[in-house]
Amino acid sequence: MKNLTFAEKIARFVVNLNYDDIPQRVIKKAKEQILGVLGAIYAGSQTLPGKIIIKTIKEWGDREEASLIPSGVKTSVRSAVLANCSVGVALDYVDYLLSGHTGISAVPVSLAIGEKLESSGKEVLVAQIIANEIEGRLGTSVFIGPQNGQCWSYIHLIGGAVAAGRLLNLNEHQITNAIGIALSQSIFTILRGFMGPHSKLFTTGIPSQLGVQAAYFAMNGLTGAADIIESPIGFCSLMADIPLKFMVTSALGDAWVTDTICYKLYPGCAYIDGMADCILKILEKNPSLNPNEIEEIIVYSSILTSVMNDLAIPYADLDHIKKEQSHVALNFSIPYNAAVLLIDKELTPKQFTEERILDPQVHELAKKVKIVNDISTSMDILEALPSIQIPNPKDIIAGKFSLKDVNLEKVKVGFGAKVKIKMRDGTVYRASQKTPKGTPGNYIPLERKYRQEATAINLPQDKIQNALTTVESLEKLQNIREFIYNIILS
Amino acid sequence: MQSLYDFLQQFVRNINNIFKKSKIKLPNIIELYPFGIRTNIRVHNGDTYYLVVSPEKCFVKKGASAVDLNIEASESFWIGAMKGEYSIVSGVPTGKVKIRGLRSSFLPLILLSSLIALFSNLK
Repeated sequence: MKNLTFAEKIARFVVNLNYDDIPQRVIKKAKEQILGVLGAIYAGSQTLPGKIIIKTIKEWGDREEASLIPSGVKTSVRSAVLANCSVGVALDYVDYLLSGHTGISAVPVSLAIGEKLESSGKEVLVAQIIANEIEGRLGTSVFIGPQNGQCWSYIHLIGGAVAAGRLLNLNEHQITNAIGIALSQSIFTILRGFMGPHSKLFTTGIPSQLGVQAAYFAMNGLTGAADIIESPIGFCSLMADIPLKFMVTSALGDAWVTDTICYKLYPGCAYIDGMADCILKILEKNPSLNPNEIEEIIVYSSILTSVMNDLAIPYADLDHIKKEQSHVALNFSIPYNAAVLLIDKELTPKQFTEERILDPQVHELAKKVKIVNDISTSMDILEALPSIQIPNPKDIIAGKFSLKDVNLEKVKVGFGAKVKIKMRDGTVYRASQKTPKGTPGNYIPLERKYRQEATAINLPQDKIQNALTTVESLEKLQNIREFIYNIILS
Repeated sequence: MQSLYDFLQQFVRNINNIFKKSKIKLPNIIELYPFGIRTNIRVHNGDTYYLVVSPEKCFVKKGASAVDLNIEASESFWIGAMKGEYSIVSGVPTGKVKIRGLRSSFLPLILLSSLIALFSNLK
């Protein structure tokens, strides 16, 4: 392994990983990830930008290889990947892990190619987990750099390439080329295009599609740079301020970043989750809380939550939403989410419909939300570092660190919050949530999310039940099309 | 009325205290930017202050220095940010904050903005 490039090491991992090499706990998390991602795609397909993307792709027409989710209309693999990955991020309703929002490429890419090739459930799961593991590591390698979070859209390039490469049964040389081809066009998301308008949906769809195409080109002999990741004029050097190149293959097969997965139970940025949990706790104890009688809502949040909210502010006001006809910025707005949750008593995709986002009552209540940068909540995030024995960051930068040194099962990457609601009559309601629901340490089965979103698009109940039963034993499925049949409308 | 320089000095005192007392290894987090955060805080049509936040030394002094991170805003914006009324980052999308080379400055800007939001107004 010593003289191999990073892309070659990844290729070796992709070709040689066996289903039986993957711990059962990781496989279980991948199955839950499928349910969570499908729920997000169903919900995203009902949004205005989701509908426009699906309409456009249907108009293109194409070879009938894979399904658009949820309609079941058949199109080419690359169009299905573009549509399903894009629609899935419409509401920011998909999981994330250390480091990246990997599920929304790992799952739709593996399903689309698996459907075309009639792959087994086992092979689809392996491809999905490979994509998670490689995307997460690539994200970590450029952690100290100008892009972050979902703006790391280039992680989906490599995710698409390796998942497709595995399912297409490419050899090491071909997968190395696929990675070289994919990362040669390392696109990232421009923040303004992400924060507010519909174009945010392409954060995942376009790079995933390019990654898949790279695998097909490599299959036919097209070459890419084997040292694309570590070359002095390569990916890490150009994408990071301080490249952590060694992270790209750190403990591959020995440590599983899929262990750190955080599922989304609510639409919206992860930084919303702690606040949403708090308000739902308050509403559970006080179901008759009248939003008209609220004087002030104070959200004590980590500084990361505040930063994200600050970036959304210019695009989350009513006038701007009308102008861009988009709910997207609201998925990052603490005031909107707190207000709509208190009025509707729930935080689901229904709170982001074209009509709901324009309700002046919600925007008026949102003005009563005050965000306080809370030191203890911010420190909770930092305190997770010593508890999992991450060494001095200088050692990380120097490469004296392996993911094997960390118990990834114990990493907590959720973002907590505290909420105080002051009523006009002087009553005060309080709640806090250190570990948001859906994140490590507070896992909630994704069955409910899947049922909720599948029911909302009128997927027949027998199909919903079949999908839930099938996913539990996906590894026994000889042909993934049996599962696909149960997750689409026709 | 406190001047911007007074606020920056208070921030530096708070950060130095945090470094001395903290159990949470804040210096190590700063070391993620191993050379520290070195910034010219520029006031539009006004003075410039050189602010250094690093584990070895935190200080502010009047005048500019040759550093990559240059942040410019009006004096009233700076004072509002130092009071914790809003973050520095919030002024970027609206154009109230001007950054030279946003792409290469974005992460240290977020780190500095976060530190100021958390610790500038700490009593």
